[in-house]
Amino acid sequence: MVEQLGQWLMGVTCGAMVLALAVGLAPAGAPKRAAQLAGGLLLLLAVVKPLVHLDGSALTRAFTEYRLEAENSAQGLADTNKTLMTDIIEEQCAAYIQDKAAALGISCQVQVEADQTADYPIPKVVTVTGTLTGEEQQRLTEQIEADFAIPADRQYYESGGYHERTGGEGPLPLEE
Amino acid sequence: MMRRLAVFMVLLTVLTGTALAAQGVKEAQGDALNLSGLEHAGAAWMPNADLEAGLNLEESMGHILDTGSAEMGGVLRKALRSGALLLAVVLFCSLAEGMGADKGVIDGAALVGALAVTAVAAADANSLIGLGRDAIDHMDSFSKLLLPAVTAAASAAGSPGGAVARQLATMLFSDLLITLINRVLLPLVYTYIAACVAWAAVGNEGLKRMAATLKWAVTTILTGVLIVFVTYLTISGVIAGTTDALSVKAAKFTMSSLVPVVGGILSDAAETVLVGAGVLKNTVGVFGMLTVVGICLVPFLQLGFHYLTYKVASALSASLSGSRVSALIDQIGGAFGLILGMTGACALLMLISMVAAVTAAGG
Repeated sequence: MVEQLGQWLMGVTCGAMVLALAVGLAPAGAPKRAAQLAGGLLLLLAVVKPLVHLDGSALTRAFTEYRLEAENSAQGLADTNKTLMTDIIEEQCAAYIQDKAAALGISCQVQVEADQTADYPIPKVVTVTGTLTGEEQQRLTEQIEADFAIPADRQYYESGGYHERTGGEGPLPLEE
Repeated sequence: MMRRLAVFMVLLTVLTGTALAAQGVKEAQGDALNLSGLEHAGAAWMPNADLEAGLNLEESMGHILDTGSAEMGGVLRKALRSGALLLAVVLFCSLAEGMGADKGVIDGAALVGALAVTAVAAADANSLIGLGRDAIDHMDSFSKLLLPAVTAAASAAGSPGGAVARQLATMLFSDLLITLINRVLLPLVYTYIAACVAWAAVGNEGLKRMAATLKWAVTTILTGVLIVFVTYLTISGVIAGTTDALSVKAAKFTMSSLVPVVGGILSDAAETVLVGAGVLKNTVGVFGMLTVVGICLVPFLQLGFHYLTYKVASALSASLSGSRVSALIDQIGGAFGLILGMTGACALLMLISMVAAVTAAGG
């Protein structure tokens, strides 16, 4: 499009310059008038001709390409930010649960896994490592359920070489 | 006493942890934005910049001013030398006119004067147009790194719609303007100079009008592109801003609908990431602005001083000789003004985009 515009402007300008010189150099009288007429017609042709070949869809195409590029750029930091948010949330949730456990008189290590597939990394799975009595485990499970809405079947209690799933579904083999 | 000390220790640990987390967030975001690549691309005009650590505005401004001061002497010398040569040509022309050189069909003194002025101005025009072109090319290649980084940071800082609209407009109009300059406006400036020289030599009024029309066309195209860009940026910014505000509202609603503890932690994490991206967006935006100013500084000084010198030489020569030669000097000065306008338009486009990005409110 711009190429065509440039060619058009240059064509018109060059035509006008040649016309001005020709009219300036032509002897007065009939030859001058003839030069003016011929030059004028040529100039008119140079002005009108490119309008026939205009490509109207070029701008729309360019617009779409630039939009796609801009949307890709906007996604540049999205993945990093989601990972960062997940890390922060997992860390802060684990610290919160550990504090709550300490307040209940329980000494343990807590690990939280957030749901990466959701729009926001919401805590999904909790793994508690420590030696807890049945009553302590029950109280902590209830606390986690109340504060994080994580049901008992997604809370894992690890001690003595195997994972034990609360909610009566039996022990899980320890992952390598 | 012991209890206060314990509380203090807990607070200190929490605050240190938060600060370290924020620092880690900024580092990770900086890596994702390829800030080191951006620093490297702008190192020729903004050396020693550390975008992750933050930009020292005073030091950066000082560097730009130092560069300007260092170049000033050479720029002035070059412009004055051209001015003196032009005045000498006009002086000889006026002497020839005074000695009664025959004015036949063609004014001999004006013809020789026009050719002599063209010979003096040709070297200036060539180097100045080259300078302007180089500056535009540098801005173009720098913007290819700068714009995606600013867009990503602004999007992460809470205004994805606005960021996309801004990059779309800036890249579209910047590419359009640079293509127009390279393929249409610069050839038109060369044609304008040719038309001016031809008019000064031959004296055909049609050529003079054509030169005026070419100058008008270049100025109008530059102004038009900038006006359309600003209008588009404003309108799309308002629309995208509304969409972003709705997205933020929806996100806040989602967080508030969660269990309070989870909502609170999620909100804190989002805030930390958002603040980090916002700080980086502003730093990268200001760095971009300063680099664009750095890229344009020397070409602006060269073009500006030559423009002024040609205008002053034209005014002085008009009192020495009433011929078309003094008008030709003025017109060639005008051509430098057009190149200055083209470089300025490209810089302004980038600066407006960066100012819009920096001042845009995040979520």
